[in-house]
Amino acid sequence: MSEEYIQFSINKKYFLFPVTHIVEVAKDIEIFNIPLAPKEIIGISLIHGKATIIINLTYLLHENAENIAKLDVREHYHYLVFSFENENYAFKCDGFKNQLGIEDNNIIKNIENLNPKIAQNTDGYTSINHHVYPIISPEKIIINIREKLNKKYS
Amino acid sequence: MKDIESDFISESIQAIEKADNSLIELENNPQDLSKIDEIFRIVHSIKGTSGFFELKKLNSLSNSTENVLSALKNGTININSSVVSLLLESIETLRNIILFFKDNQKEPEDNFESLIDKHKKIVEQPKEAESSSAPKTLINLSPLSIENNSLRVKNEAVEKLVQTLADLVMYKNYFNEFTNVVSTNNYHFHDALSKINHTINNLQEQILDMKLQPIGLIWTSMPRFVRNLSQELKKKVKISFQGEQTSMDKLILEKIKNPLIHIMRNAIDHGIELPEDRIAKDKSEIGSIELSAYYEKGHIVVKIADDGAGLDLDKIKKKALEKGLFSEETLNSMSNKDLFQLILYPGFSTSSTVNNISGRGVGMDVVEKSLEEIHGSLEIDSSKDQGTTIYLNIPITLALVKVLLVESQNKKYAIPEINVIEVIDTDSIKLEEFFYDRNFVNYKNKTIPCRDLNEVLGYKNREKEFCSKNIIICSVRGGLYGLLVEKALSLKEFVLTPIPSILSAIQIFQGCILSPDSKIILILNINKIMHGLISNYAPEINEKFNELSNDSIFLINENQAIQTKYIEKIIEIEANKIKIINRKKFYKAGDDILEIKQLSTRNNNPARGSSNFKAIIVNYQTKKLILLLDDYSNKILNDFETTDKPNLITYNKKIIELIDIKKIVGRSK
Repeated sequence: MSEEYIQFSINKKYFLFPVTHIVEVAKDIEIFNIPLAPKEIIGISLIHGKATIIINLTYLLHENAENIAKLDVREHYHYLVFSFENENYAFKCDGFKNQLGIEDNNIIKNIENLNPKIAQNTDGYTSINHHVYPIISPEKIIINIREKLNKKYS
Repeated sequence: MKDIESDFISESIQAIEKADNSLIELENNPQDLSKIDEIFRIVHSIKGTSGFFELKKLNSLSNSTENVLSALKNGTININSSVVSLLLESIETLRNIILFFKDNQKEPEDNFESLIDKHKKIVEQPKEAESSSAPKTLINLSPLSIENNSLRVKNEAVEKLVQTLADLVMYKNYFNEFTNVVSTNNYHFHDALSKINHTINNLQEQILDMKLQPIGLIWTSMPRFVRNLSQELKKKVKISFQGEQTSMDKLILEKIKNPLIHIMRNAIDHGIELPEDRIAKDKSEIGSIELSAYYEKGHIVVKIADDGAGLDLDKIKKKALEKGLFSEETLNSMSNKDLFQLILYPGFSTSSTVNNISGRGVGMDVVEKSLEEIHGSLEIDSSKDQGTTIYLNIPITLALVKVLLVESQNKKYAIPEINVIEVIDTDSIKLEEFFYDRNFVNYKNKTIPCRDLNEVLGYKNREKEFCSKNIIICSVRGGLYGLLVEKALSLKEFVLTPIPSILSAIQIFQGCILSPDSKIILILNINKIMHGLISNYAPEINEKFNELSNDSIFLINENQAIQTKYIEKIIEIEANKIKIINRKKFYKAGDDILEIKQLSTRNNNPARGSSNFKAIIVNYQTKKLILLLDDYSNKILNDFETTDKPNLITYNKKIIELIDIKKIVGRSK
């Protein structure tokens, strides 16, 4: 069985994201800062009439997250909007490449070799022409942020 | 076919609720044979339609229930409590079969033979002698009228219509704002604008009316609930209703049903006393619960009043102490209203026994949370042996919400209108009406706690410059609180949009609205923002002292100050309780008898006076004494400057003497 993924880049690194979760790619959105939100959340925006949480994926994936986070609050990037449990989320991407169909058996589930921050947010990875493409898991991203929020405010 | 099936299910469930009520009314008034006819018609109708859908079990159970009802009609059996209980059980089972069919498209496995057997037995039993006993539960519920000239419209269709209306209202507001900027004197333009506004307002009223349903719809199950629970607890309770035609959004109705049941359960279990206890208190042996609903200031108030024992303040204090919520001193000086609100803390139950009805302390906080979800609020009032009244303040609709827009750091936030009492200009408030670094404000001769929105939102810039132009006086759980905001803007209706659930952890926000220019505005949860503050004066100040750093000082008058690290608490002492022994004055504060020292000689002998005095309990290396004050300035300073003299500081270029506590305590024995 194969599933469709889109290749997107953040900080010159490519990742894959399951197409089934994607709502749209938005541009020029206005982001409203949410006071007291953790660094994993940039803010909230109205995309397609729906309140959408803008996630700081760069911060979630990058090793040197503290420095990167500062760059992220810009509004003129592409934002990949995805849906999880009937709610919309979005994150900033630098660009997109191809849409790929990847067979299940080509996905490596052993993620121990990946950078721990990336591993926390992926379901596995695939290798194309000797390049590693981690598959970002919408579920893991949201669960990680929820845990962070609950820890901060419990 | 699906539509017919769905109609059958919804109509049957509604009819069953009506049958429930009729049964209880019948129990109270066995002579009213019209009730038997009513129930009979409902069961008969279910029997008929069940055949159409080939629901054999539903058909056979409704048939045997019909037999019991026929026997009642014919007078071959009498109406008594056990017949009513059996019929209630039958009606409940019919409801369960229908709900099972709705979810599973088939009937349950059970054949309900035991229930059918009970029907047979009761129909065959010889007629009892006329019962003369008075009914146990009294009901006063006027039936809701059912309009026949109605049109069935799907919920989703109405929801879509409301959403479109909400957008239209939003754009109307936007357009009106725009026309204020673009000034034109064209008469036709203004006439057209006024007509558009008028028409949209009418449309809004008419469409929202379509969604409104009377609260009586969710009250129909209450008599049965009260009957069952009071019988189980061996109590006698009558329930009465007022304002059952008061209408609100169907979604809100659904949301308040469980909180209402929870409050009723508490009222019967904890509030209403056993008949013998009520008689001993010179009360009627039958307890009463009154449910009423009415409109007030653009929202709805649902009032649940019982005439039971009332909330036990001693138990509440004891529980709060056990849970470490507040100190004993704080609890003793809290107003009754503040103490009642403590039952809203998670896990707070004063019941000494846990049963399957209540007492686990799970509930009142959930009730409050459910109300917050619909932008409502709750107030509690209670009197010993006279009962408890709970007020639920709820909006009429969820599609549009009226909020006060405020500004903080150039960003807009919204405060639900339901919380707003008054907006005050800070310029109109004299500085002395603020206490303790603006943590309190004097509002209509009452000292109320105050918070700064910038601080709440994490913008800690208040020390630099006071930039709040307004105080919003808010009502939370019946108490008054002040919220300092940079600017209060306007009160307007907005389209409500769900807040993403991931943000629910940040409890100071309770939702979001869309502004006409498609911006998101977060709605502040005033209840959570004011959480932990008590609308009471002295204890809060004492707690504030505990939070302060050792470096701060407390300005006693314009020339003298004391380091806050030596202050244990501020108290008010009663002049007539001051004891003079060997020319020294003493006062009992809690368990300690402390010597009183005076800073000035203005009031040479306070023990001779009749009024109360403000004083500080100072604690220096575990030695305590009371320092009597002429007055205190209500100011805590952190930004003073030290001088080369250890007992002198400067503040605002003025020299202030630091009181030498060591010396004063040293002189005291």
